[in-house]
Formats: sequence, C-alpha cells, structure tokens
Amino acid sequence: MTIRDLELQLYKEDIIFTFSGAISYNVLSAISLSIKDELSNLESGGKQQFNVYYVLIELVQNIINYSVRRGENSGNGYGTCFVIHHAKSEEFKVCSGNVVTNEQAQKIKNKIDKINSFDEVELKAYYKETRRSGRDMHEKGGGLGFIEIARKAKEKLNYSIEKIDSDKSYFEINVNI
Amino acid sequence: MPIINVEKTQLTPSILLDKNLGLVEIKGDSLPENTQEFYKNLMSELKDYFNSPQDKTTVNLEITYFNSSSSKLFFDFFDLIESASEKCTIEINWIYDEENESMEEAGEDFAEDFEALNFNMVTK
Repeated sequence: MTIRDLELQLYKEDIIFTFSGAISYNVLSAISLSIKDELSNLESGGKQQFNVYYVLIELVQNIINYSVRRGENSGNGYGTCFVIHHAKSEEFKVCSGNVVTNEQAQKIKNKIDKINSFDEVELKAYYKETRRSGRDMHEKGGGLGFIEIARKAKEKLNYSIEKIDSDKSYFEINVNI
Repeated sequence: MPIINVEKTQLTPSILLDKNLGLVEIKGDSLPENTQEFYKNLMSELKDYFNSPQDKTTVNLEITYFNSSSSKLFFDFFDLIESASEKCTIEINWIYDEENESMEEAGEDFAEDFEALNFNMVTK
C-alpha cells in the first residue's frame, strides 16, 4: 500500500484526525492544537465540537497513563487514536486503542460496565459522588475520566478488551458524539 | 509569600493569588501534565491565606476548558474555600463565554455542590 492509498482510505472512512505511536505530554499538546484546528474548519455546533475535543484528550491521557510502553526506558505511552466525522449525519466517533496489563483491563471493564448501567441522572450522581469522595483517586487523576467521557457521549460506551497473552490485553473504545 | 503569579501557557491557565487584595484568579485551559503538582503551590498558599484572610475575598474563575483530573482539583479548591466561608465574605465569579455551554454547565455543577458559597454565573 502506498502512502497515498492509506490517505485515501482514511478519507473514505471519514477519518479527520489520526495519530499512532509513542505519546508523551508534548505529543498531547500537539494533538490538542491539531484537533482544534481541524474542528474549527467544520460547521458543527460548539458543544459537539467541545465534546469531541474533550473525549479525544481524555483518551490520549489514558494512553499516556495506562498503556503498556514499548521499550523499557520510554516514559511515553503507546497507542492509536482517531476521530471520524460523518458530515451527513453530523456524527462524530472518537476512538482509541492501546495495550494494557490484564490487571488494568479488569479495572477498565469494571468501571465502564458500571458506567454503562446508569441512566443520565444516575451518571451525574455517580460523577458527583466520585468527585466528592475522592474514592477512585490515584496519582494520575481523580478517577473521573471515563465518567466524563460517558456524560459527553450520545450512546453507551462501546469498548472491547482482547487478551494478548497472560500479561497483556488490547483495549479499544469507540465513543459516539 | 504574598503573591503567586503564574503565566498562562497553551495547556495551563494563568494563576493569580494576591493575599493583600484578597484576590484569586484562574484563567485559561487546564490540562496540566501533573494536575496535583501544577496547583500544589496555589492550594498551600491559599490555605495559608485563609488563616488570616481579608474581610472580603474575590475569586474570579475564567476557565475555558478543564480535563477530568482538574475537575477533581477544582472540587478540592472549592472545598477549601467553603471551609473558610465563615471567616470572611467570599465572592466567586464563574466567568464563561455565552457560547460555551459546557463551561456554563460545569459552573452550575460546582454551584450545586457548594450551596454555602456565593457563586455568581457571569457571562462575558
């Protein structure tokens, strides 16, 4: 496949932004600029664009914080993220994928399944309770990321976890906005 | 330290704490590499300030975007302010762009959680 073929394929799939590789905070900063620029060229509403930006940044931060790194000495995360924009239906999909430890995969599964069991009102209550109690707090954040993502999504969070070996799994998530 | 003055960057807000004026301001996007670390100085100096605050304290927040770990941090920030609310008059101005519905909702969420605080929703 040539580069041009790949680019045409992305275009056909309505992928307006993609990144795959090592992700540091500096890369996150560049992704922030790039997606803002890309979104500013579209005609969709302000809130929807805000939510696309919000969810992409949260997913990229998750890659930085939780992905299994490639290379012993790398301080970076490693993963793939993309944003799809179906102009006709005015829909966005924000997606990411990365390798996690099996232990982390189980935590993610428990968290997302719990979130998906809530309706909008329950989700807001769960968000506030988690924020107030600091119960899921850890060194990287307040444990609010997936809850915030769910509050900004149009549908339940669509994810999959596929076991790679006895240590690792591949986690991917697809958020409709 | 009477004053904290941090300049805004692409992903982090400007921070001002002036103990003599009784003024706290946070403005811009909040997406620090390490949220706890970024706000550590403000939180500890603010705690110190509330040991002997001015008669009136004004808190101006003009935050255009904040990530989920900043959300937890701001909750703790309001919690600290609320615990000092019997010592002095505190006015909080949550300033947002009329078109930024998300920041309006975020401000309302905080106002609901801190009913004891005087929370003004201010559009610009």
